[in-house]
Amino acid sequence: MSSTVLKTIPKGAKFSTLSQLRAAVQSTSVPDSKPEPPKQYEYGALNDVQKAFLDRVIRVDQAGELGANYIYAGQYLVLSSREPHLKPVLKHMWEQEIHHHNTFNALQVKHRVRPSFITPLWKLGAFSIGVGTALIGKEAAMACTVAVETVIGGHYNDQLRVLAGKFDIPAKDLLTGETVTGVTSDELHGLKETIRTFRDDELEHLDTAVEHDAEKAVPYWLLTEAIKLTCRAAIWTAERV
Amino acid sequence: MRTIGLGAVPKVVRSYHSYEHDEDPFFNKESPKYRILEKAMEFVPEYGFQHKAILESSRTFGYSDAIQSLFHNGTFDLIKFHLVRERLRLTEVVSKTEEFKQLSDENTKVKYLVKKRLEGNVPYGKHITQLQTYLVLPPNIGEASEELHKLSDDIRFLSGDSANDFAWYSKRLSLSTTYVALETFMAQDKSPNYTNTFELADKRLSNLGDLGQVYNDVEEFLFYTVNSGLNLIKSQATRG
Repeated sequence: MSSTVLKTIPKGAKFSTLSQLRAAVQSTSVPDSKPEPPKQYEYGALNDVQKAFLDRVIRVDQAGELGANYIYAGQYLVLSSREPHLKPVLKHMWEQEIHHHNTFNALQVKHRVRPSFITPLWKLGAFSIGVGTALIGKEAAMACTVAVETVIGGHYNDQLRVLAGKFDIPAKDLLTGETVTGVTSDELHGLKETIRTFRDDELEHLDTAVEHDAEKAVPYWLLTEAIKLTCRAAIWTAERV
Repeated sequence: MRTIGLGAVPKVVRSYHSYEHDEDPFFNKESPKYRILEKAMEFVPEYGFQHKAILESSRTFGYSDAIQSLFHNGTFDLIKFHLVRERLRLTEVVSKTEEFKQLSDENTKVKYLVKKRLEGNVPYGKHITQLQTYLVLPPNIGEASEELHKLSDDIRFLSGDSANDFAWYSKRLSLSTTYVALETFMAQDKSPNYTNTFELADKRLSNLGDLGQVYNDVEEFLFYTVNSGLNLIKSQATRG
């Protein structure tokens, strides 16, 4: 069965949107070769709750960005021919999502977090939402963006709030030998910065969508509320499964 | 959840691997428990994975037999010690062996590490069947399969696996089943130095590498079908 698939499709053939997505995903790796400055602090251990939280954050954000990536892929597939003037706008947002997705993929591998078990379902669901809303019309597609980015932006904010409030880990100053608080390891600082930048990107998409007549979608409130509900359910599930 | 509590708090579930924050070491090498179990492993070739090995070991240190109460899981403590120690040894292999660093692709690295792990069983080769019998007993099977998963997860991670979707699971699961098959074969292997086992490992693991590729190809194919289907509908719709 499988071997025939391998024979008929040459390895590495790139002929669909998906393979382009995947090629972008795989070709980027964690930039890790910078010469490290001497260590100043030795950080204490993360407790189990903190670890579990970070585990969830990376898993759900990875799944979320995967979803966003595929939603834009679906919208782009339909709208690139129907509404050519929207192409650059969509392309720009989509490329940002691809970058977000790659970043979280790299974090997931580096920190040994298991990806969500139902990634095939996320891919399928996100792509159908993208194609579905775009088929209704460009206003509906933009309303979908509004709904998704609202939920994601809020979710990132929740994560930042926890990262700011619950991660005060004592560290040992290697020069003086004193234990200090209020310093953050590069690892956590980097994660916070990443989430902050991505949140700003997502909210920028939200503005773009509103500028492009999202609110003119006909059952606007129904569409956005339904998609928001779906997103929240997906977030709840992706954190756990 | 039962733990073997070797001094430090053992991690029951692996989550979020940190680089800058201290990780709890699984073994507290200073504790009497660690020293007794380490010595007990030297008695295993003679006595097998039996409580007797722990008993003999604690006697060589001059402890009273009452120290046996440290080992409330009895033989399973010894077995788990063996499993965890051999698994953690792989991390050392990766950081210390020059040979490993020269290996180029992921699959050769997986092969190398699986063989290293099987080599860890060689001194206890006669007793592998007994070991496996203990592992599948109902009270132990949960912890044993968790340990098996950790082993395949470690091997995949150390070999530079970068799967970020469902392939992550299929890669680990397939490695786990292959490992169990290899160990079962090893238990029956009568060839000198287990050469047959290592040959089999080469063969089985070569096929394994294609698995993730197959998954990706199937997904690719489905996506292509949906895509062209949509295009077909679109073209029909414009013709009217």
